[in-house]
Amino acid sequence: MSASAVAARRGGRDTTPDSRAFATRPYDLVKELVVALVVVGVLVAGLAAALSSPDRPALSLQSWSKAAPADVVATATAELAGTSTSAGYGPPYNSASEGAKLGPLPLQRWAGVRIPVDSAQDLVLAPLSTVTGDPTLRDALAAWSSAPEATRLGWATTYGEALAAAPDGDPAKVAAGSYGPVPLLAERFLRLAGTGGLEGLLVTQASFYGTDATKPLLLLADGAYIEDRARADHLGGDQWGMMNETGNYPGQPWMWLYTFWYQVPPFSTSGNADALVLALMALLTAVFVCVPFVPGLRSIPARLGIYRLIWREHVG
Amino acid sequence: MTTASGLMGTPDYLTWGVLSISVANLVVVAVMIVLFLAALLVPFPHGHDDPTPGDERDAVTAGPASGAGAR
Amino acid sequence: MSAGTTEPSGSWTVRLRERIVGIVPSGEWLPDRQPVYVRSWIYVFGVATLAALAYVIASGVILVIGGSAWWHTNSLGHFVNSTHLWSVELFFMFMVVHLWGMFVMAAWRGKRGLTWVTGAVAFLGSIGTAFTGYLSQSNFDSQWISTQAKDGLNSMGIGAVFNVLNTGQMLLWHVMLLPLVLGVIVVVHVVLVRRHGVVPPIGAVAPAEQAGTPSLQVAPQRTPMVADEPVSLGRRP
Repeated sequence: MSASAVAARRGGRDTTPDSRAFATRPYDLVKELVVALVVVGVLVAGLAAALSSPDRPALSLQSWSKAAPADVVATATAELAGTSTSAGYGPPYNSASEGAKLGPLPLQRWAGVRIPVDSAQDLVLAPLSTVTGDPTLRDALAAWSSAPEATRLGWATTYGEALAAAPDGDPAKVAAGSYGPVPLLAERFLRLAGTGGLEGLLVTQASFYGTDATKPLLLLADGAYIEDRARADHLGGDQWGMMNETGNYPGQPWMWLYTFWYQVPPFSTSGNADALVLALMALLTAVFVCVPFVPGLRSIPARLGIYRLIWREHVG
Repeated sequence: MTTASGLMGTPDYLTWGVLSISVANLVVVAVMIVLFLAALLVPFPHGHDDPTPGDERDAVTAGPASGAGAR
Repeated sequence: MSAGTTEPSGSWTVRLRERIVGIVPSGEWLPDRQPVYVRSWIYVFGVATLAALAYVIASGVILVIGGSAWWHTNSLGHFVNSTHLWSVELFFMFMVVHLWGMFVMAAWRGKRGLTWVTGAVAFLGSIGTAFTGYLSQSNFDSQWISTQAKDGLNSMGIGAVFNVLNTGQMLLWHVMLLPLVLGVIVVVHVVLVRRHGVVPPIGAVAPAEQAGTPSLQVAPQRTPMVADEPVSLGRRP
């Protein structure tokens, strides 16, 4: 650090002189802003015209049912068995698990169940129960609801395992077994998704003007299809996905440090990675915001000396 | 790579071990670094009306010491 | 009450007016001169960031006029969406280069710590605003980003208040709430720059001190923005 740079901080005190004590020269700030607006405007219009913007269409539950029907059947079965991601998520959707912890702190549990979602009932059975003119389905629903819970879970779990064991997960190739009404319920669910009306049933349960897509998104995320499509665009968590955009578009390179931690141990192998990474980034962010007040950090610029290039006419 | 639908072709990625970055993001970061280096190295033009020595507007105003004192 | 009196006025209006007027020294809201050491291309990245932000807001307003799904089916809407995307990309590019520049200059010196803090918070707020923007695209991106991000937020216990799966909530946060908060932070940031002036070079000494004149004749330092302390009016005409 130069003697003058050291002198600028004597005994911890900032003795930076007043900027208004220095000689000045004319400068047109408004002209500078107008020039900036023109230059940036040309850049924005040019880039937009030349490169456009990405718009990979949203997956519909109907397109999911056509592209990956076995996945839809397996997902519906998992919802009924309580083995899907949402069914075992914990707060804010249910109490099935404690959720993630930050060290000893169960932050997820502390938040409580604020968005109650019963995966089997809300995502599968309620939509199915709106179907009319299908007595077979009506009887299957009645058989399901009248059975003891242990029996229901047994049916669904066993059918889920059978689906996983079947070639390509194809429901038509499942081995014979005691699955109760589950195969029929799952098949009718696939058919309902194929009509294109399933999103609406899930979104408008509470209101005609449903704008809350929590339920259809939880259902979609419980399947494997959405992640398969995401990974094809390098959007997966272990693909630095947080930084990326669909196609060849630039994404969010400023997220590089946040997503970096997910790629390396211990975060990459931890079940609490989300809480750990968020907490670490919160700490680093606090340090970043407080740079002016952190001894050592705040003297890095003087030590680096890059400032000499900026003020080369005014520093020794 | 650029078509009527912009940049929606097969994505290009560069990977070294655990590091992976899209070509698009790499271009963005490279442009930022070039801009930063250029800002440091390219001389800023001198204006025609810079003050000459002795210009009265550049003298430090010896104003009254403020009530808050020197800080 | 006249401007020359030092006795605090009993009028709230006068006190507020003097408080507002005193935030930035007279003539410094839009000065036509600046210190001679402000001569580097690095200084243009702050205004470039603001220019990009102006286009982000303008294109966003047009998208609001068209509605949230307009850009999917209308070619003008798609073009406006593209200007929104690229102005955001340029905004972040210029802002980060500006950040790098401010760091190597240690621009927080001379009571400018709050300027750095507001800038840093604006950067973080921009990331959050952009995030809600991604959630509001109503396409595959929104579906994937929301279903992934919910896990991080839920792990910290805030996923119910800030429900990324609730498109209606995220759209409103993006269009109204976060831009409003961010706008206030940016305004405070710029006002602070005007208040304190551009930071002198590291190790610089004021010309009067260099000439060896008594410190009493050195131009007085800016008083901090502290309540109850008398704010000195600008020295320069």
